Amino acid sequence: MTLATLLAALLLPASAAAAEYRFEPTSMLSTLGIIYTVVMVTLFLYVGWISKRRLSTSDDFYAAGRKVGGLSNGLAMTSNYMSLATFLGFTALLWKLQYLLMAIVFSFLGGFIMISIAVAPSLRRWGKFTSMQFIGERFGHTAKIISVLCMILLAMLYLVGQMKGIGNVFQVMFHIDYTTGLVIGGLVVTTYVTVGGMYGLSYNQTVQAVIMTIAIMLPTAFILWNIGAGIGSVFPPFGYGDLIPEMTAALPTYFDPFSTVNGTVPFSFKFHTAILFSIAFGTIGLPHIAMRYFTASSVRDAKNSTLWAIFFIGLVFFTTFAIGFAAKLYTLNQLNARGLEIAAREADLLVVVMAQAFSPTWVAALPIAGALAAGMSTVGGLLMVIGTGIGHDIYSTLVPRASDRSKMTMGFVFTAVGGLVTIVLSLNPPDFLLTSVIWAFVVASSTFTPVLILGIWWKGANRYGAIAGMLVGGVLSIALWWTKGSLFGLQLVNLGPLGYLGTALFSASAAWFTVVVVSFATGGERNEAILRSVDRIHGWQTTSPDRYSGRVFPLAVATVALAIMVWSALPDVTPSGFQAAAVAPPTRLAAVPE
Amino acid sequence: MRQLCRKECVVTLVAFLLVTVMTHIFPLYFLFPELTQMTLFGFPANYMLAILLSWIVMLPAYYLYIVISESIDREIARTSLAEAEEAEEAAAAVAAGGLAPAHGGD
Repeated sequence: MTLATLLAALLLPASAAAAEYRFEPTSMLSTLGIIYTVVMVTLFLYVGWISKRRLSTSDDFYAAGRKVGGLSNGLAMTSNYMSLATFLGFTALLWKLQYLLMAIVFSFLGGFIMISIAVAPSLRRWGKFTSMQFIGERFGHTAKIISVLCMILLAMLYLVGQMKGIGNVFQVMFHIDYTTGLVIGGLVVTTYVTVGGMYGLSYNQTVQAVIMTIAIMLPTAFILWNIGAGIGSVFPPFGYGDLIPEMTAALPTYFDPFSTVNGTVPFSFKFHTAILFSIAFGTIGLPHIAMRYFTASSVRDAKNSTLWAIFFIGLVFFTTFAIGFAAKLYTLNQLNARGLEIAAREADLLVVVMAQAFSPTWVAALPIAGALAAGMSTVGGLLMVIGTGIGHDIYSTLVPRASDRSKMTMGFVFTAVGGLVTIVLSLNPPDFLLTSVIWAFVVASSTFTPVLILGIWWKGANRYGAIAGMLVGGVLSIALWWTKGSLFGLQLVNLGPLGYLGTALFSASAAWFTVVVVSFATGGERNEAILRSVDRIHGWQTTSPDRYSGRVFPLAVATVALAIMVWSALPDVTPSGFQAAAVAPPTRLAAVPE
Repeated sequence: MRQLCRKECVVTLVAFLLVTVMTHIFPLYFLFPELTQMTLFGFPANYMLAILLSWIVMLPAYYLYIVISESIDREIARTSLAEAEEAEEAAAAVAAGGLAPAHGGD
């Protein structure tokens, strides 16, 4: 098929819809997509079923017996980390926001590596199943209950968005009613996670990572080749260098770090810093990300898994940059030139739109399977966190002498219940839940992250500090979202193009500051058993009051946090020399959700 | 022992800060805006630099971190084992010392 035929095939349905481009999958694409999906789903269920044989203790159910190898765990981390939003949403946001989205993605990757440096080794040595358990043993039952409640909120915020996405893919691609698609997708993932526990989840996530990598790279290579990227197309992450002059001519601000939304909105230094506080620090606090480190056979294996994950995550992330670039160039040079616009609904499907236009059907159907695999892997990870949080953490607090068998049974029950509740919530989700993934990062950054890092690296952090910090961070996350950044008449955060994401600059800093100040004010940690355990999670077999108890670290943290809170409240400065693009190409996407 | 603990903290802090810089290089462009006018391998330098640092350079850098942190972990294990043995011997000596007067009293 020639390029002209492909373009015509893509544009034909659009022409009928006047000025708004409408995507319609061909019947062959839908049929192949269904075949791929059925095969994939059968495989997931089979893997879940065979994993059931390996479950005999709660360690098996919640942490896959802590026997998952480096490469396998790295692949599982990759798919756990990348959601449906990564697969489809990144391209749409890149299309709309350009460099701002790139900054967010780099930060997302950074957060993942930061966990493995500052948090994961110690949590792995602690030998539990979740970060909430660590918080419970380090800071007491009240802190644990608060952290589990925060976790349920986070997981639900994340889950509903993913489930909704799965339902939408079924609806748009297969012409299956949204509810049916949601129920099918939701039940499949709930079944294999419940039946196979962490073993089933880990093996499935390994398979899903392979599917996702192939499903994004192969169509992108075809797309780049067909739009004239040349030989570089064989390696999509760096395969579009030849097209850069064309993009620079069509949209000079595409690679501009000082502006966003086609060069129409300035993007300041402060906003870039806010991305660090929300995305990177938020990732550190996300319990389903940290959870994968508990399944590694050793601390060294956990680090090796991270190394593999960095490789695979980079491969997929930077391929989405390539496909986003191609989609933007195509819409600027072809669609916009003909007076056509892409509506928001179509922008979310740009990967499939481009694949259908520029690759053979058997390749074009791959992103559909990849998107569903991405959604299911993240849903699976989150259901496991819910199952562990309620079925293990809360249950073992309420029934301290519960047998190992009953803890495992509770895991089965609450994983299944979590899945069913999410399906019900996703049937008709309130609007605010659909933009909630962003909120999840801000909440995680303002509750879990300061408590985890200070709990590991500073013996002086105590339960009063942790509880106060989580409450202050959690309440501010909600309040600043509600009031759009102001409190008691003071504009504490300038939301700007980041929207709600920017509030983490203040709420997370306030949480860090509170943990330190309240811990100091209440005399620090005095419980000998806890002090000993802090030494133990760093690998020490003996205890010493000299270790991890200096004042420089907490005081530096509190000072920096206070300075950032003040800076956050100061008026922002527009980048010098910024001039809004005179004519912005037509777009119809909403700005970053607030 | 205290030196070792400090070494662990410093290595972690440096690694954490390096990762932060390598994956959040954008604020640097406010200091050196000319980077946005240059090209690297056909791509705008500011874009390519961000990908190279956060992925291609990150892989060997993270491997180096694994090697260094693992050697510190081994050192901690060795040192604390020796400490534990010393403490055990000291406890045994105290116990033996404590018993002596009793025996002597007989």
